[in-house]
Amino acid sequence: MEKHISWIGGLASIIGMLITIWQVGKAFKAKKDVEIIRDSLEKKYLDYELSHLRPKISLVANQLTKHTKSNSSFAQVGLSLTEDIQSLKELLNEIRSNNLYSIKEVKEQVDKITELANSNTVNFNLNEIIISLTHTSREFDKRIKTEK
Amino acid sequence: MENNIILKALYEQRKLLITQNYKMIGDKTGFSQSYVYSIANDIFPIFHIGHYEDIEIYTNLYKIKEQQIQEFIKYIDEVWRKEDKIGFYDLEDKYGGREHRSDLIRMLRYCYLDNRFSGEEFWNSLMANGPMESHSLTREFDILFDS
Repeated sequence: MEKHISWIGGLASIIGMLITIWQVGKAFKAKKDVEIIRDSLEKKYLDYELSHLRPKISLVANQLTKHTKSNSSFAQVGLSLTEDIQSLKELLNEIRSNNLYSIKEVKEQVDKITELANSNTVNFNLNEIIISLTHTSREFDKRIKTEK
Repeated sequence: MENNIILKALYEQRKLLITQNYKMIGDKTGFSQSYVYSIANDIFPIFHIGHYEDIEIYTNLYKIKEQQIQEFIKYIDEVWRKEDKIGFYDLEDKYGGREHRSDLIRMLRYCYLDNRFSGEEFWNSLMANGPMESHSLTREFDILFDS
């Protein structure tokens, strides 16, 4: 009788162990699913940030470009370099406070623009600032394309 | 005479092409909002000289002529640089009264869309002392309403 009981107990332990293994497997799968969802949400959020900032960069770059043109005597009427540099600095702050800033290439360009924008000869650095802004835009585009 | 008709036809054709393309694909046309606005509203695109070669070909066909917008912008620039407060009705009085309201609104809107004369105070002051029509000077560009 005791032999039967210990045999049944052993069988129950094996079944219990199998159930545990099955549950561990299920938990791992659930964890993987959660990670996939989290990655997809992070990607969506990054894409949102990129698409949100991309037009702002174009706007600031286009506005600064107006200061470099002298095709007509009216090309620079109604423009204020001080205010446009201020808009540039606000844009840089926005990028810096964003996840995008952790991207190496973006960080390099943003740091370079910040240095140029804060220098005393900012009006002589406009072309370089514009080029760096377009590089940043291109990095954004690359990021959107490669991550899809 | 015949040349004038052909030029006028080309002008209208170009206007249609630019506005219709912008209606379909927006900024992807490569044209800025202010340029599209000026073409759609027959304003001489003074801020875009040098950007597009055909601007001066049609000089005589714009309803708001080069000289008119030049003089107007020069005056606005003076006011803006001095940081004087000016209302739309003041401009209307200076530029010939109510019958010129529409031209003034179109010229100011063109300036606004080209990010000229920045600063909320300047625009708020214009609109605060202006008619209902002037209250839409600073709204977002919408090709369906702005053309």
